[in-house]
Amino acid sequence: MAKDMFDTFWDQNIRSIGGFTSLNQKDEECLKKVMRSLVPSQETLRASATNTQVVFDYDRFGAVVYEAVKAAMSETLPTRLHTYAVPEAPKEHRAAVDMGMETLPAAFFKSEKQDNLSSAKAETVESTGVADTIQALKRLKGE
Amino acid sequence: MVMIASLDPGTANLVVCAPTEGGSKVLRMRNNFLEIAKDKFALNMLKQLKVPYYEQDKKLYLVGDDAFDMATTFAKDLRRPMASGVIASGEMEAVPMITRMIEKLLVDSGVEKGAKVAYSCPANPIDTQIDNVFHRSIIEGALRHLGMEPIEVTEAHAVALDALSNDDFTGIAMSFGGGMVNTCVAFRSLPVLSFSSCRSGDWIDQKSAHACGEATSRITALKEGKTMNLDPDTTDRRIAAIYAYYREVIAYTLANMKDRLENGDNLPAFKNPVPIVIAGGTAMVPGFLDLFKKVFETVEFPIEISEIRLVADPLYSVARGCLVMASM
Repeated sequence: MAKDMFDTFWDQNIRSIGGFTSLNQKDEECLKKVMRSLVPSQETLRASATNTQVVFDYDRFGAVVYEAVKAAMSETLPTRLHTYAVPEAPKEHRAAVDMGMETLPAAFFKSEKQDNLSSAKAETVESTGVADTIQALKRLKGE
Repeated sequence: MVMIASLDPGTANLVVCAPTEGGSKVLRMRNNFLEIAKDKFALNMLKQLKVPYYEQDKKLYLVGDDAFDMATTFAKDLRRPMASGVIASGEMEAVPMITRMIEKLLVDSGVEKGAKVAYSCPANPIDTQIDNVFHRSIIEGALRHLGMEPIEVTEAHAVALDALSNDDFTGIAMSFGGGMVNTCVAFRSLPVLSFSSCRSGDWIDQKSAHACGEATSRITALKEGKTMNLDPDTTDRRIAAIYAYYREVIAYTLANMKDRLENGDNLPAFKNPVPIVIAGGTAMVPGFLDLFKKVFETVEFPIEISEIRLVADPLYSVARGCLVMASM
């Protein structure tokens, strides 16, 4: 099978890091598979290069791999790498790449459940003083 | 049409604030949910009580204050979309659940799509490995998903914007929330030092519940009940435990503050004593301010303090401060 953009990205930027060799093949395949599954298309990978965030299971993959991935990603993409342990998640969800704040897939936020929660209780309180505070801050800023 | 609003996604409560003609309107909902097994009895009970719920995989889910009331009645422990001030790492339902609750509060507040929504985000804590990166991206993502334009405000900075208008927006603002205590040193409205620590209301509840062998939700209900008072002479062991852990949280927070203020860079030299203003649901229990002052007297604080005061409506201060920011 011909290498696609993700394979190239992986080989050149992730796998080539020395510390990465400590990861066994099974774990590497798992990590790669999960990261690939969360990249919806090659175009998205390219488009997301300005705002990619990696969610990384530190407990599972350990410090060496973390540092290797971090180094690789920070060199190639303006990436923020965040360690995020998800002990109860299924293995295939333990490491994830999201595509940045604006391009997170809608399914990430939307529940499939039908609900009638619009009638759930919420406490309402009238509050005063905010307008005065805004004016005071505007005065301070010379507006 | 409401085109400016604010959101305080706290560990214990979700608060939305929107401007009205005479001021502002605040909507609050507990940030929790309850899972119960689906059977005839449960379904009939929920229908009779007119409690909203949804079903999935033979389970029933209740959210917000309805979930809290039910959990308290049946001594169940609640599930939380957030823990320690950020999205809960082990809670798989967290993101769709919190998004749905935020949507409900924004819709009920009349906030239109395209509105600027200033949301509060905790400062990174100094006592755990947690950071706010993932949390921030989820809350921003949820707001964008709902068609809003998000603006980030650090939690205690929002308190400073809300409560320091008579002090030239200069002083120390603190937010005692459910999962964290956030602190901000503000100078003429600018946040010069912000940090948080992870012992706050939930920690008090969990420790007190463990000490007394009670369900945590019952300790929370007692702590927030009308008869609660931080009384050192109480004969009720649950209140004695709550008092002890409150004292511990305040002492721990002040020790951290002292350390950061003594070792912080770029702190302005205040010409005059500055106030400490305190907000957050955990600070609302009667007797909190007296206890805080009592513990404060035992600390050699590096900055001269003019007064220590609770803000008006401490639970809503962060949302009000965010609304100030959204309006600028």
